[in-house]
Amino acid sequence: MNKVSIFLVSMFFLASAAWAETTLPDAAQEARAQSLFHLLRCVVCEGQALAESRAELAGEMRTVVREFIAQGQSDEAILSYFRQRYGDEVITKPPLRADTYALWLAPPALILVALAGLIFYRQRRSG
Amino acid sequence: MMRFLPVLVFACLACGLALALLKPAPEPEHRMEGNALPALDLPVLTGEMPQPPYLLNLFASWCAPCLAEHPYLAKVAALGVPVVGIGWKDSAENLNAWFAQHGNPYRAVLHDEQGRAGVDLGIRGVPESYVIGKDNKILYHQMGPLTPEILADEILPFFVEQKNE
Repeated sequence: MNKVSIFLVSMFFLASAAWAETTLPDAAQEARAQSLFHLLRCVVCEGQALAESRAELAGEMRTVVREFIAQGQSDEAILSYFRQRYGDEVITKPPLRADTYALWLAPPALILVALAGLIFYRQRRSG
Repeated sequence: MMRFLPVLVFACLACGLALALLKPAPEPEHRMEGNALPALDLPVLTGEMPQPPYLLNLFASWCAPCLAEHPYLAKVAALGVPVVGIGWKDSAENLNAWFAQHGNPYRAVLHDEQGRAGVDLGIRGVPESYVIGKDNKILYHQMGPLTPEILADEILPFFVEQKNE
């Protein structure tokens, strides 16, 4: 193993050590918590989900998620708890609404335009 | 001419992205106004909880902007506005040392050592302040330090209105 890969592997383990939090005893419940951590955004760091954030507030939000799951709350109830407090921006997947149509529809529209352009260009070249 | 189109499109995209990157991040739009004050199941560090309306202020001894707004809290308290503090992610020892050094403007101080109540209140960091109305509703939510302008224009009017009723 060269030095770079040793460095990368040790960084990986260091990074996972930073998440050494009290997990839920029930494996299925913990898995639910982990999937919610990917759906929720860290509100004090730009562009990070709860799952990957080391901010203290994110740690506190993870604690809240686990607490609610242990209480038997549904995923929807947990997400709406956070949405009520931090707005839509706390959900990593923005809702499909009139003011977010552009966000959802622009990427597929761009792909279609690019494909159409490509086909047009190739036909002209061969024709 | 068509040859330069991709270059032009790329240049436009790069310029747009560079501009967006240099622009300061927008203030978070979502505030807690209109929500009911969540139940705060916290130990009382000092003082006695007043009846609403009051000004709720989250702070910590390790937070520099909290020290900057601290003198203004004493001023509004002197004007008769009940101010309740929540010491967030801080030890009782450090909070008491802070009061000894800088004074204690709070009617009551609650202790949120873990920071759990902060999430219930939808905070992003300290300091944050809330105007709590008579019916325990959040009437105003301030993220970041209080300034004399914010206190005079946004916060004091709530207490003047409530007194006149």
